[in-house]
Amino acid sequence: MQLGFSNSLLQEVEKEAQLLGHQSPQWSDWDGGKIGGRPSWLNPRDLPEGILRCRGPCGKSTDDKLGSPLCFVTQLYCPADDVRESAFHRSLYVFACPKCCSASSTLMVSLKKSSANQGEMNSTPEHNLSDCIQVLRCQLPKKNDFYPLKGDVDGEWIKHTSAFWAKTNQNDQLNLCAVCGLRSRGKCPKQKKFFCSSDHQKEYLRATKKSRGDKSTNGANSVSLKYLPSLCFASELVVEEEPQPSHHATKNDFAKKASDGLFKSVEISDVDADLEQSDLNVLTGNSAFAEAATGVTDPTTLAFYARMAIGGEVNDVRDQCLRYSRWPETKQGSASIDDDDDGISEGPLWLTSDNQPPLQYENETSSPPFPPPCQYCGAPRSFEFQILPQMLHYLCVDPSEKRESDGGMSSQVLTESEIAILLEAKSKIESGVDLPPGFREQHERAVAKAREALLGIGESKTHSVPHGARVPLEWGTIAIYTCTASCGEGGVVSLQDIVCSVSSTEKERLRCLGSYREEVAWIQPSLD
Amino acid sequence: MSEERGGFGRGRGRGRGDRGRGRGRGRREGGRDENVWVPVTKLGRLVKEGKIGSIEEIFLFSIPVKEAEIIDYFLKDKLQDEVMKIMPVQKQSSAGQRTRFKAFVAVGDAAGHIGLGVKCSSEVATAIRGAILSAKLNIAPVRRGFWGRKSGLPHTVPTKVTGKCGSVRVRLIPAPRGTGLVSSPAGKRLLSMAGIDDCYTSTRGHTRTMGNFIKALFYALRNTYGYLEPDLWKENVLTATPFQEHTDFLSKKQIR
Repeated sequence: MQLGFSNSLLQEVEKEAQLLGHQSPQWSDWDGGKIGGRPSWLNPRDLPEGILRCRGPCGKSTDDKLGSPLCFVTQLYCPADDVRESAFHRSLYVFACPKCCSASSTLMVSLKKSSANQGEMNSTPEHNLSDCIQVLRCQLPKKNDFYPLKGDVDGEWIKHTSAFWAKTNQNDQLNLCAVCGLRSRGKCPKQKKFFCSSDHQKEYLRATKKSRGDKSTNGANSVSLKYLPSLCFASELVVEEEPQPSHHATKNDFAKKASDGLFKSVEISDVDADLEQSDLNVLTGNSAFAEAATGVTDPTTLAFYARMAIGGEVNDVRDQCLRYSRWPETKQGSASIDDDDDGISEGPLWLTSDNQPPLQYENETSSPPFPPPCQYCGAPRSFEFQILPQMLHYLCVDPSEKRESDGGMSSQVLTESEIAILLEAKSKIESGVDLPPGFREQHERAVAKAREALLGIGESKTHSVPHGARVPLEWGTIAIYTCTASCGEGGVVSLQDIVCSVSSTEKERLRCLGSYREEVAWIQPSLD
Repeated sequence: MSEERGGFGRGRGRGRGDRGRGRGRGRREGGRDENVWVPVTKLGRLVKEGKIGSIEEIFLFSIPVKEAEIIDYFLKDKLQDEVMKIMPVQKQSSAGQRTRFKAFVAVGDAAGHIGLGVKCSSEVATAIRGAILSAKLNIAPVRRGFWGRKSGLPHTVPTKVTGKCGSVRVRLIPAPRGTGLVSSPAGKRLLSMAGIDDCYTSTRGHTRTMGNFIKALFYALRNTYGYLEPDLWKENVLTATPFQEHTDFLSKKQIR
């Protein structure tokens, strides 16, 4: 199991920062990948045609039935030349819909609600969140049109850039959009740059105006990412091995504590042997029936935290963003969490017991097992990697701003006095003093409203995102499943390549992705 | 040649970033703080940005706390943990008996937040560590009732209260300032975590059963809340009882 970490670009030399992804032709140096920013295409010539759009519910409610354009999340370089020679170079790209994968999207809220209902089986909703994520895979054999045969080359190689192919093939569209890095549709005469749509053209213009007043940008050729709200902040993705479970050096402390337990246990068969976490929560008044239900009793979540803490303090891996394990051999699925399981499992690490993909047919009427076989070649799909919620921190937080613990006070949703009033009202209610009628309901309504504003999950009517603001992405974990045959010889997809029986519109859509093949993802909503 | 390449899924013996471009995480550069917390939940992200002032706000809005570091962030050094009991539990298997250890841990600051955690594991240290994590994730405010107004800050229970569970009876008696907690060691720890400084206690029954003892203690604490003291009687607004309304209705009907 390998872990991906985010490496900040600030300390990098300017030149090195440009060499992320596939921008350098020296492919023996390629490692890890990229988080946020613009995608760096492995195959610069056979790009997807047009903007990538969400296939989920956000498109159904608009007039033109077009989903919202997707936001680039991450890419990684994961060669598979042991599987197939044409996968000598292989890259995976992940795009997410900013409208559907956010805390306020109706789909996300309904998924969380269904998981909060206890006593129900894993009910898979009709709209799967997986439609809102697009995963693209591209591979090239060792001998290809874009990169030199030998890994190390000096200086003047430009065949790997889209601009070169735009000139060679006289295809102006291959020039990439200055904002999102996808294929462009035209050139703006005023700004002298290429854009994929008028939205991005306007966004870039706004951004150049804003950055003119900012002295910190060093007059670089391109505008800093913080002024472009449809992009996420960029950082480098580096690879490390997952550490083995460490046995703490502080064993002595625990041994002492063990013998000093406040309640000495003498008999083996004790009445307390049956006490579980949910019972303890009832004691402190923290159960699901109490007003303030704040606890965690899900064993999957606890196992997740235990795995995060696997390195101990010596080798802290809690800031991992990505877990990579290509097509693991172990039995996948929500096996019962065995407490003795100190052994490391190589499959996906889920966050909650609910909202896990169905791995086989549960009954005749349930949805088909996940993941579906490859549409192109029919081979089964298997887990390759998963994106963790820590990546959201690196995508949405500007690394160049100094972060102090009280730096956000000015942007608080409620002022301090309002919070003090609510707290006092709460203590009055709790102390049982007689209250004027309707006080309690009024208080509860005010609390609910403040809570929604704080968490950003209000109704879409009252909570409209201001124009030009960054829409916050949110997920629990995204698990990506890829074709185990890693099909494709590195060329553009033709209609004959698609073996499985899908509709002709679907075939056409897949063909328009150029030499990039689609894979599937499963998204699990976040913990809270 | 192929061994010299980087990327995910290559090289079993990858150390701290020695393949590919030789990047590990930027530890050597010294620009990284030690053990910086990267939040996993939305609430964690809000807390890290500073949008939430105190832990009381979280309880006010009933936002589920799913990340232990949030508790650490607010309660940093004030949080103490105490192992209450470690007991071996056994499971019968075909190869004999399998013994595992079940650890019960209480964490709390001395200001009225307490959490109880339990974890079972084959090693004592793992069980204790897991139980501490579970306790932090299940922290709740102790319902302190209204305190006596005679003194400035609350320091004791307002009246004599008793709680019972099973055969255990726990009685809490108010004590003057400076008395401290007069109780068994377990009771002392739990009461101090609940935020009580001075108290006399009296117990009866099989107090060695931890579950019943804790339940009785918390019931006693909960009885302090909602207990109407005599000096509050006159503040009650006398509202019409349902029976009164009913008889009024009936008498009206008769007149017609």
